[in-house]
Amino acid sequence: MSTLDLLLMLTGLVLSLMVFGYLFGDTLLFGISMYTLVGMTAGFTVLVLVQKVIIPMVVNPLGTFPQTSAWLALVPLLLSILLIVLLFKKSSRVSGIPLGFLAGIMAAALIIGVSRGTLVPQLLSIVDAFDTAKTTSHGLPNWAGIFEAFMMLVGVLAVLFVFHHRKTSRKQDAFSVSWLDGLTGFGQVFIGITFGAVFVGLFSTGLVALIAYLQYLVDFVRLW
Amino acid sequence: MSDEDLRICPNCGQENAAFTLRCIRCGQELEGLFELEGFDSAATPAEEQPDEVVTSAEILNSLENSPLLADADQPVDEEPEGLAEAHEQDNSHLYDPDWLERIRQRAKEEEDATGELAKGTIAMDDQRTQEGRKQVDEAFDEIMRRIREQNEREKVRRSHRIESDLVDENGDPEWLRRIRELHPKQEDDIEESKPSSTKDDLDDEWTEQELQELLRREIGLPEETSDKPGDEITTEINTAEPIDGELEPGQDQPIENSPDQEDETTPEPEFFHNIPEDDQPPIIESEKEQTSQELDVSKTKDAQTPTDDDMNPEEGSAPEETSAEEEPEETEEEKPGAVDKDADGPQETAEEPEDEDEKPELAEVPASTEAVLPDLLMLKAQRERAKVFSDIISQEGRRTIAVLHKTTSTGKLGRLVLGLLLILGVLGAILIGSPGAMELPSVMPAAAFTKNLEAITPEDSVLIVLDYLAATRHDIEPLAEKVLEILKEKGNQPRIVTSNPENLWLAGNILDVSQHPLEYVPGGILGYLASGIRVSPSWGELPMDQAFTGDPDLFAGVDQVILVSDSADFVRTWLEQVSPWRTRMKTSAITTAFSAPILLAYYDSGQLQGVVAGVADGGAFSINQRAFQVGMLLMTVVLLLGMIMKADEDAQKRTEEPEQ
Repeated sequence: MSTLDLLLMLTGLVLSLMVFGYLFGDTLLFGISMYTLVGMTAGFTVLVLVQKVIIPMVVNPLGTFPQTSAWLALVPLLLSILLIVLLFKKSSRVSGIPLGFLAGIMAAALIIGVSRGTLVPQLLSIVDAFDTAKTTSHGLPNWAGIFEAFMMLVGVLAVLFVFHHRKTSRKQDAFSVSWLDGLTGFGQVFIGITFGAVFVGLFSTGLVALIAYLQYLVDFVRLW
Repeated sequence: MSDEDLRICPNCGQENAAFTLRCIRCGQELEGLFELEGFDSAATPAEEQPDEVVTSAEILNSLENSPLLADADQPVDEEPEGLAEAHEQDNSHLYDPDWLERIRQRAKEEEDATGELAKGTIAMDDQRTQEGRKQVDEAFDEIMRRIREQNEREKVRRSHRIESDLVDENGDPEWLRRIRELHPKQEDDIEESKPSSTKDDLDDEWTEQELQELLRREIGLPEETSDKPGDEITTEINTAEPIDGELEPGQDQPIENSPDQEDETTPEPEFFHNIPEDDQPPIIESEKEQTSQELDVSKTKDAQTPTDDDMNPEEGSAPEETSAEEEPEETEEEKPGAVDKDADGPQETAEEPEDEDEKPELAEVPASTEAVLPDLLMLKAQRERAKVFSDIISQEGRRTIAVLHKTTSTGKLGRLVLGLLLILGVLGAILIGSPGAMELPSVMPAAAFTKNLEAITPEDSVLIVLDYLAATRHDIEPLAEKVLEILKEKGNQPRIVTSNPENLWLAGNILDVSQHPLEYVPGGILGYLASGIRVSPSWGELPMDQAFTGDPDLFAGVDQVILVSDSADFVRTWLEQVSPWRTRMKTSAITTAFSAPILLAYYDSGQLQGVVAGVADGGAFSINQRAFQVGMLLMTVVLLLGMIMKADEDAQKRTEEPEQ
């Protein structure tokens, strides 16, 4: 092991212990480690953008005048300059041009994407669950497939109704129907299961990271 | 009823009943009923009769012209004796007709001059009209009683008016002297602070009812004023009459609710309001307010209260302070308990320590009535707005939004204990025993991912997209590294790209950058979208093409896309933005256990060919498996204990709420 590797491991050990200091609250050591992480990430990102984006996509084409690529490079350059104005004057109207351009594109892409990529495919998935190819097996009913299809349909409706019923119950406090309340409770069961699975996955991911870094510390100590 | 019984009103011509006292149409008194018949009642008012001298000749002349004398039913003996004697003595030789002479002669000869026939007729008529006469007499008595009462009231009113107009040598009217008699001590202070303009402007006229009302207040009888809580004006102006401002001390006086006095006197309904009248000048209202304030001050202060000359002019010209200090007093007056509090009288109230503490504040009441401007009269809504404004000012700098999770020392200690317990458990599992190598069964998405991976041939074009953070690298990199090994075994050369700068150096852990160049796609998901929609222009290459070292068309000929991401949002956005443009691509994902539940829906819909999440799905733990199991066990125990404790706490709260 070289001296550089040893120094890097020692630095990693110190930073890991500083992060573990969060057990005692938001201490100064934890803050230093966080600021170090954010600063290094930002610095590295700037380097990457300069090397991978600004120089090859803006600066280099400008040297090819009067080619088309050079004229095209002026467009992002102009928009970037307008964004830079935002650093000095936060209420600058000219800075709203690139921001509006970006926000408009993002909004349009999201609306179309959600419709094409999530809403329609998920609805078709529910409909396909009732396909005879899935609900029957060798000419006999596939009870597991039927149960799965119905649970999927009821689950979707119940979860959707949870939010709808919650919204209406806010407006009308006295609005309460027993079967609607039951359906709402059924939907809450689905939501609870989903959140439970997400929490287990989150804890599992964190636990893996903890074990990995503890293993790293143990291995470092064992080196001595 | 015949026409003869009707009486025609001389004013309007309306026909009225015979015994009607007033016209039913115009209300004109029909006084002719009570006059001697044949006299012109309109020409001789009752009050002027004693002053006039009626000669006998005129009377006889009127009697002679009267049509009633021609009526046989009219009794002759009803003629007044004096008039008859005067007629006989003075003018008998001048106007007596023959028939009258014969009547007189017969009367001298007979005892009853009416005769036998006429006597019977008269007796019958007397019998018939006896009831009518009785009613007439009653009506006469009634009208006379009314006239007497009206005269008495007029006399009393005149006398009071004369008395009220009386001014003593000091220029004080009678009503003021009466008040002084009722408030011998307070009046001195009032007189000192009372401006001369107030005396001139106030009306000196007092009626008997107002004085009785004042006396009633002074002796402590319950008064029916409009001191309601909902009054609009907060400043005390309890009467509409300007002079009633002087009555404020009477209202502020303690009211002794003695039942005897309440039974003896019935309080007259008197409607007070605090709304300033439009026809009254505003300065009068402020003067009333000022006067009431001064009287309140005189109640609580002793005789050494500073006068106008002693007061600081700045204090006297500070009406805001007056308004602010006035509120507690008003509140006490509005409270029902304020009556009991002041029930011992003003002298005892002044001796209370609380009131002594208020003396300095009360001394700041402006002495001059001109200092209180009319626009300083605060409405209730204005006072509420002022209170809201003061609350906002007082809350400045304070926390207005409640803290959702208040960190306590107990919470910090629990977090420390839990963290240390988890660390110690994992450390013990790492240090003690073998790491373990148990093969766990794969779930369906992971099995589908493996199946899809095995179906890749060396000729297939595979694109691997990296998008994960350093914090999750231990959950993802083992899987990605294993996939790369499988592809390498198959002889497939994947293309690896990323839009996350962090992955440029994280990728060095899973691949040899010299053999697998990592390309950077600027713009994040928009960069992938641009590549997915890519249209080759006829005028040359796009600026985006400068970012790629290889083929600018990123998805050209790609059969399989493997997303290596710790974010479910990135995978979802890819499926929404890129996949619809490249439908022939098969997409699978390597992600964390945290993102797996969200992405399973896309696996069920067929948008993802397979999902492998976390080290558990990898089938080959790169970390200590026993430590992972210990950690999961500890967290499961903690969660169960937490749920039990929370349920117990909720049950205790539910049992305590009904008890409370």
